Amino acid sequence: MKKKLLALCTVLCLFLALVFPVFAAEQEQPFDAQKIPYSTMMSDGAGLLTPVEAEKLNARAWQLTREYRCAVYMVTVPSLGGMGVEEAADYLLQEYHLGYGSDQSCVLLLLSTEYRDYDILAHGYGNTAFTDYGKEKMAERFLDEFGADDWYGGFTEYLNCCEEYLALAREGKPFDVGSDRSPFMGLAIGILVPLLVAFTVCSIFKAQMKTAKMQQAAQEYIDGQGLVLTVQNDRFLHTTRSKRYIEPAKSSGGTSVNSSGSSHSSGRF
Amino acid sequence: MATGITTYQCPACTAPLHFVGESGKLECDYCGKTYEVAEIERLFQEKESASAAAQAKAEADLDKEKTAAEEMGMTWDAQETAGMKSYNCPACGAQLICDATTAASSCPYCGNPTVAPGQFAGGLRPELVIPFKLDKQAAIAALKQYYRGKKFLPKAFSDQNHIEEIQGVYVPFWLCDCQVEGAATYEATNSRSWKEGDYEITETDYYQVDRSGSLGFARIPVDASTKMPDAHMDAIEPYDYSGLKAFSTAYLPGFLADVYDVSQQESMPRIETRAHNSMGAELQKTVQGYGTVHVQNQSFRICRADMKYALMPVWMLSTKWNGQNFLFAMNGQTGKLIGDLPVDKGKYLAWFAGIALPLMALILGGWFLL
Repeated sequence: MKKKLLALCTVLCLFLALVFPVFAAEQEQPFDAQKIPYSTMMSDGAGLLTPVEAEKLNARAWQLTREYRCAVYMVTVPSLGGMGVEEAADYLLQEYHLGYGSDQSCVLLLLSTEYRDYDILAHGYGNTAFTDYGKEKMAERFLDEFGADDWYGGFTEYLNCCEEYLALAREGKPFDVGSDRSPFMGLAIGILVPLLVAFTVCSIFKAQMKTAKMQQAAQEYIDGQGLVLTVQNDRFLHTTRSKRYIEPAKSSGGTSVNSSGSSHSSGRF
Repeated sequence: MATGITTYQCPACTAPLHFVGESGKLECDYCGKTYEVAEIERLFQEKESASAAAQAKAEADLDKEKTAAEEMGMTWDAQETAGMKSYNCPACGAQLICDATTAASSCPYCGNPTVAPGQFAGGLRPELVIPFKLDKQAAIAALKQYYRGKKFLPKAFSDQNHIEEIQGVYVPFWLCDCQVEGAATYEATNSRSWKEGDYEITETDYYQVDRSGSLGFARIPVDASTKMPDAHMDAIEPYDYSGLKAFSTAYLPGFLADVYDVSQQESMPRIETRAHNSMGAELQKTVQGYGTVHVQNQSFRICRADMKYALMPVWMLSTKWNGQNFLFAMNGQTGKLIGDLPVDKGKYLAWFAGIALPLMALILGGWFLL
């Protein structure tokens, strides 16, 4: 009897293990507002936005935070108080216990108007959704607006980008190197390169079929004395100088995390 | 009877003699005796002189006949007589009609190798000859070897291929010793680069480089026969000149031989092109220590040229496939064989697709799936 019970239990366990993983995955924990101790998503210390704009941005950031369980912050400060912009972002994260849940999942855009510095900080799950390449591309999208002092436009672009990246990360395909490759470029390379390689190889084989060729030189018949030089002049004429911008090296993808578990992308706007 | 041509007969059994490249001797096919070239030369010297005299007389008679006929109002068909000569085979008496440039052949009736010493009289006598080293079998084997590894060769071509004609030919060549003089001007540059912040700075120094000099060439070969395709004759170079011998008709029995019909002057442009190109390359080699070198102008001239007339051994092989003639040439001394082959379009497309399609799948898959 005991044996039969044990067998039944084993079968039940197997059935549950096979059938319920999907169900279990869907049974995620509900959003817990308590897990966000610092619930003001838009903090405009530098006073760049009107109260209405700040409220609108805050509401949208909160909505994204709820939907993706990754806190989306925007902070503006008039000065960094002598800190570096990345150091300041790390300070905010730790001092105010920012982020969602125990792993402090978040993305934070910090602007300092003193020297027009910015930093995008990602932590916890944010490191998965916001790769180094993704942060770099995100900055390209909002820097034009911030450069033109269009603060609301810049933050809106930031939130649009956050939404796209978080959605992609939820699908298991975080925005990274190669995510923005053009399909037309892919088609062009995928068709032209093989055609070129095939043509080159076939041309080499075809050249082996045609060996009757006129000689164009007579190197083999140069006599023992060889070349006798009678004039040998090398005259310096002038010097030119040119300058070329060095493109930053492309990363191979992923996210570089510092010792405190955060990743950054910073610069000036 | 002097007939204008000579057959080299075995002094022992009077059967025809052939020059055999491997041994470098004349051999009798019938009794198997072998003879040194010098030995046969000495024996047949008198016979050759008589043949040459007979040919000269025959040509004079022919001219007289022509003149008489023209005086009587008769005209010769120019096409019938242009570039042709006739001889009588001393072995079977058959009349042989040959090209005016043919100096050695074989009788189509009795197969005896024949030489027309008169063709080499005066300025037409070559100074040098490289005797055949490789025989007909070596040429056939070389052609089979040549087919191997040719990816686009139609299978039917190599399978059904029967060599239609194979002939060892002593091809007339001019060997040109010359001296080229000239000057060239180059623009040369040297660059150095370093980083300054986000920029790479490049400084380039420009130089004008002048070079003049002279370069000697020894025995640049150029074929002197309009019958032979120039590309084929150029492509089977080089010959090993250590095998050059003083000319003797005793090397010819068993092979075809032509006298030149392209003069030294007519051959000069080909020699000039090759010598000038080599002079340019050698001068440019002396421009060293620069990152880039570009020719601005150059001019060369041949200031001294001396031509020697020589016969070179060539195996000519011809075959027909799909109504097209394919001609191959093999250097009769070194065995280098060349010739153009047909391309199987199906194989070409199969290879093309076999390379392109998997690569496309790999790249497109990598691009869109990864």
